[in-house]
Amino acid sequence: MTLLVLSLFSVALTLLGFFVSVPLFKRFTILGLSLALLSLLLTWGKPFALGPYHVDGISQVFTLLALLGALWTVGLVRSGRFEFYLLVLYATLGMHLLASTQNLILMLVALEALSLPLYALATWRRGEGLEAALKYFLLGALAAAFFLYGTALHYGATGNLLAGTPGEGPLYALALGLLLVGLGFKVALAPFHFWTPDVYQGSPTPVVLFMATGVKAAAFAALLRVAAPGVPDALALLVAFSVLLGNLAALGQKEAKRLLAYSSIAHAGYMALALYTGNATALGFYLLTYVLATGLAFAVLSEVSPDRVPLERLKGLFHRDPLLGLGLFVASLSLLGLPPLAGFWGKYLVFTEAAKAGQWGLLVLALITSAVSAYYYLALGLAVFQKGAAEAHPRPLARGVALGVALLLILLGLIPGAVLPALAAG
Amino acid sequence: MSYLYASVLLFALGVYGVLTRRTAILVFLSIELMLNAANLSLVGFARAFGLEGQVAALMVIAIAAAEVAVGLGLIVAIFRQRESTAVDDLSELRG
Repeated sequence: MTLLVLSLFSVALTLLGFFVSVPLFKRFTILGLSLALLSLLLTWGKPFALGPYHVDGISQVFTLLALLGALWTVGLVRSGRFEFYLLVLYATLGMHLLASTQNLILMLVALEALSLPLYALATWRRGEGLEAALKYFLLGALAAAFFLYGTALHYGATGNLLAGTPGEGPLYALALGLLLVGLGFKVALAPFHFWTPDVYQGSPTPVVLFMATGVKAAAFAALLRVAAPGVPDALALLVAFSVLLGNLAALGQKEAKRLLAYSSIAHAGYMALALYTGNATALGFYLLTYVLATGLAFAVLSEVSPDRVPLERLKGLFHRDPLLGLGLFVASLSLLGLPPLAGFWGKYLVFTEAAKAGQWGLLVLALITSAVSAYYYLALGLAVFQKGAAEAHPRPLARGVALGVALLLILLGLIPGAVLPALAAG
Repeated sequence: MSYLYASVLLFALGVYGVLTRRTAILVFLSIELMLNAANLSLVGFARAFGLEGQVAALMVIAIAAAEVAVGLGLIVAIFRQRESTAVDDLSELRG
């Protein structure tokens, strides 16, 4: 259903774009995404399969997150051209497809369907945007090539193209490794993270919101399927690199988007830890809290400026606009994982699962780096209360959404049990 | 097996090109080489496992074409702006 709604709207709106005004087009896009969301919620918990297209729990949870990210991006952006909204819609279609298939070739098609629109979206601001987009494109294409070669070797080792086929031998191990590298690029796991800070800094903030939420969700869904028969041990190395590098590099950052980019690398590390210990529910919940918190942070930043946002420019935001200031404060505390916010329970779940699986080395590393991250998250969150002349011209709707998401983060922190059954059932 | 060796060689050449070439076009060309290496092994393996691999190779050709459309568009846009496609010139975003 969701696939049908999304593809129908993408095709119909492509034609419609030339005839209707841009504000109306934006409403149509929001309508399409909302209908997709509705169809997803109506069929929640009911599996569906048609050929290589499989809707199951993983697909539903991760598609939900991608759709939320897409809706948020479309709502935030004020673009004079209809193509922007259309590209977001196409990318969302790719994300849904990536989360809903086990066929490696279809995964590659979906990966490209979500990446190609994002390369174009990253260029939306000329100048820096072009540089960011070219870096994103070259590394993204490289990742796709690794993924494809992994697919080919997987085919050679097991005789079929389904992710999650058990196998053995050096060819199979190499195939899994290459698939891991390809998807590691997409979720920004170190050491495949080079593009992240530059792309996050150079792209328009609403697009970055989409990259940080939707792409991560969809790529982690694919990673879950690839790692289904047995997680390769190399993932432990990626986890260690990501939490160390992401958190340490974020310490010295003076620019909010770059700081959040390094934070996203660190969070990818924590999510990969959940994957490594083999708990899809913990991963889903962590991703939910991460999507809400990082989405809120980027949404506030995009109301301050669509451009670079040095931490200096955030000073005084609370006095200028209390709602936005509090929103950024809550978001950074949730990213840090301070109780009683949702981020705390995400980390709690992941860390207890790691303890149960006996991954003490990774657990200690994750705990220490998580403590280190307090320094930069507090610097970001407390900047809004300092004296300064921050500028912000938010629309009422943006402030309403910021308030709603901040409340949701607090509510999820107080009663995390409310969504866990739904995530496990979905 | 000789298909596999040839494709590994092609893939390695592609990786080498990505790492050493300094203009965006040649880096992109090397990536296409890697895609074709994968195609070669898909078709080679299809001899043992049936047609699925050959169909996959056809799909990959279509994907590669879509990638070229976006990628060359980007490179042309960059060239118009800077009169250069050297990847080392792309260093405004640092920190």
